[in-house]
Amino acid sequence: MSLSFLTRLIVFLAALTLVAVGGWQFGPTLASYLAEAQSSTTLDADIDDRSIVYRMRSDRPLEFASSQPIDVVRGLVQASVARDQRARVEGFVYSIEVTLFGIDGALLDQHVVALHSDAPDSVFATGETWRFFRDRPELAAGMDEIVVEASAPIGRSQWRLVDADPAVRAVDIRVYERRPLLASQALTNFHRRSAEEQEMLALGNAFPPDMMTGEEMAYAAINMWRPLGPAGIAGRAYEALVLYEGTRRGRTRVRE
Amino acid sequence: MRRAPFAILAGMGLTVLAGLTAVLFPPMRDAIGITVPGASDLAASEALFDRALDGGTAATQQRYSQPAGLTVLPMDQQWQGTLLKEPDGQCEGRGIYLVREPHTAVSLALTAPHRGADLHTGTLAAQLFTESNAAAAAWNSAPRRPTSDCPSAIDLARAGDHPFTIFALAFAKRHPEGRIVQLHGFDRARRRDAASSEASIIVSNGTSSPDKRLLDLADCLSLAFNPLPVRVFPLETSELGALSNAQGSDLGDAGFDGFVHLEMAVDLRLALTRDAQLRAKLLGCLVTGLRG
Repeated sequence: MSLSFLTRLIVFLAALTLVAVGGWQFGPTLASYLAEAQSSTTLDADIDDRSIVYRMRSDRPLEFASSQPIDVVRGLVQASVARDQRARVEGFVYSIEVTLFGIDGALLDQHVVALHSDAPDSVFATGETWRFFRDRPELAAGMDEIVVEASAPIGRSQWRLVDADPAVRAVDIRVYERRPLLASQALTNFHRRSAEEQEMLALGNAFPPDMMTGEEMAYAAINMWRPLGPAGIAGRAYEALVLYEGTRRGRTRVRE
Repeated sequence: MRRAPFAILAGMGLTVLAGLTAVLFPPMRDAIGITVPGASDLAASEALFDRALDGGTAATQQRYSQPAGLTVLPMDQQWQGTLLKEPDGQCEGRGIYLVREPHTAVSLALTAPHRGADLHTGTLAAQLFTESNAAAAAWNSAPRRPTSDCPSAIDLARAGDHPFTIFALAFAKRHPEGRIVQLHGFDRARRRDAASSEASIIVSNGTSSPDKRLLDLADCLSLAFNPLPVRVFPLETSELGALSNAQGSDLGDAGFDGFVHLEMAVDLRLALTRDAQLRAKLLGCLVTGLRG
């Protein structure tokens, strides 16, 4: 038995002791976190909503025609990643091209928007609202919002995936136009919403719905968006999927 | 010119449907009263439905039909199944039932307990039955609510001790992995919450816990009828969940998980009765994932 071997043995035993102590201290927490993370996409969420989303492609844009000339268009963009990428600390980057056309079909504007999406586990660890697919292997990462305004009325918009981190399996989008509501209708519309929906609409307000003035209620209701469907035939021009949204169990939505 | 065959087919379909509905649906004002079935009546109904769903001969079914207050009209090409209905002139609200030969049928039952009150649901159930291979269909024979013309009425969706519920239970026993769809209609203007008043379809399994089967169906409907809003009770709307539905409740107690309460807005109901392609989409979803 040489001295160097004894030294190596001592170092090895010390390392083993450290691992054992660390495991004893942090093991249950880590195991709990991993267990939660494994089931984060479906099991621990109370389902709140289901939405149709459209899978974006880089070789062909999705086209959405508005029901009337609009001055602003909104996209909710959702990246999805492979399961083995769920904990990637740096997240994922991708970029989207938005092209706006006027009501006469003329090109109005074109923007390329670079986006960053948190990894699914980051969303799970910090978020209250989760999104997931029930029947697909990819995991929904953080969601992004794009709001684009134009100087002239918009008749239609095209959305194309320009490029994405190789770890991004897919990018899906929902496109909205603002609901055409008059102020007088908006207040009625607000009152017709359920308590939960009023709570959602009032999230940006300092006070809860029962303490809001009529003007604040009308403003909250007028700021509502209506989803648009893409042009073309399903399965050929676009692929539609159902995206679920849930609230983490044991938590409720909080006022921002 | 290429449209001619489709027009001929559509015309033939309408003729068949007209004949079918004439036989299936005698005027509801013919209801002469409402029978409150006793235990022996219900047992007779169960025996009859068991044999009908098992494909028993008309003679066998005939033996059990009289105690159940129904007559049996044997299999006919027009309505593609054995028809169980009350004798002419003796409508007491026992319901109308249509059963297809079980060996070739899909484990799907299409029912409309509020035909008449929920506009187009009766016709739609008949259309879906003839255009699919569904094993069974059922309708109310008396109106849901009494009127001056028609004072005899019964709400089958709230009638537990009734042949309509016994039929649902018999179907669940014969097709434990199947699906029983109840077609209903709702009025958007009468809904309380915005999610319901904006919906085209609201689906429920009659409980507060939608299961995987219901979510699969809802997803299929959402994609098939996009952009029409499809809501799931109670996740996306707090109304029309059929929690007090007699068939849903009894089927749940029997351990059957294939009950679907399908509420539709009137514009969609009308569109479905007029558009065969739209009905094909609905049927595609109703048969998806059938395990039996």
